[in-house]
Amino acid sequence: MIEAGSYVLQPSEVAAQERQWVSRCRSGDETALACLIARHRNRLVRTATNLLRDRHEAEDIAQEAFLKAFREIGKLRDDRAFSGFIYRICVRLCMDRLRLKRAELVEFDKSQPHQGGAVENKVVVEKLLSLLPADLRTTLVLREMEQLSYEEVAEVMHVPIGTVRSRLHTARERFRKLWIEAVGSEA
Amino acid sequence: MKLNLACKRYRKLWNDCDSRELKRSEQRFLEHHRCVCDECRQFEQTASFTLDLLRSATLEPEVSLTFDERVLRRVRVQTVRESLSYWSPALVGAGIACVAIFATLQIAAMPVQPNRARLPDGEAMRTINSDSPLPSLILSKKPLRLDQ
Repeated sequence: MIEAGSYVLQPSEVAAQERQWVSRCRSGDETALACLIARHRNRLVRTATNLLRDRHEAEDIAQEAFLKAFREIGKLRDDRAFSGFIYRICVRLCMDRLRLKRAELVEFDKSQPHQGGAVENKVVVEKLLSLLPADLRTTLVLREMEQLSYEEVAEVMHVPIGTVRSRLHTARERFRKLWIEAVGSEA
Repeated sequence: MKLNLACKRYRKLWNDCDSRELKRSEQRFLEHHRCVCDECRQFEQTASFTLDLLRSATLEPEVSLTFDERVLRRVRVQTVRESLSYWSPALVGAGIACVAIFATLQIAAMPVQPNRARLPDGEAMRTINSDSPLPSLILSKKPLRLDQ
């Protein structure tokens, strides 16, 4: 449920409101545009940040996603599907950006024991994720960090659910091996 | 390290338990194999640890205050660009037509000036002499004047 002032909107009302905004957006209403941006920006920036591990780049991608979504809003058959539509665009843009990036070499100081602090963990995870291919990395992040279901991951990435399962299996295993290699000893 | 079939099955089931509910026989197999295989026990520990590590590294960014404004500005620019690119062939066509019309009007308004270089030096004139019944041809070498 979403709070609008003191009144709490029901999911059906949220969907109806969004449908209205999308329909008004098609006719060039800028207020509706601003409402759609305000509703979806946090989710898009969050997902893009977790995928790219860079807040500024993530905001850039989220903006691109909004631009592309508004440009192609005419292709949207069902106004209720805007949320998934823009999310898919954002994830695809992130994957394209990840494919362009070169994997960075991970250099860990193995003489220093892994302390396991929150900041250190984030740095280690960031480096390990950068070694995974874009497809595996995206699947892993969407499932483990964004907590999407297998069906949702499959829909967002436009692949069968079996592919999501096998990619997750591979990604988890590779991530585990990379972590062992990086830290030097098993936890 | 080459895994035996039981270890492979254990790891596959361990992964599957995230996406589906395991059957009783599968659960029993997991429990039994966990007890007898050190490697798989260690695998499970490291795998759980790395997944926890991954989840704990989730970022919760705050969106910058100017985000909405920047998107709206870019949308406006995009709209202008799109309308320009939509109308540009028509605008180019109209421009070419204007130039063509202007050129035609300019040419039509210009006085006709014969090319002096092409004027003949003289002309042949046929004269009828009253004394002679036959016409005679006189060639004048004097060039024609334009005002004549």
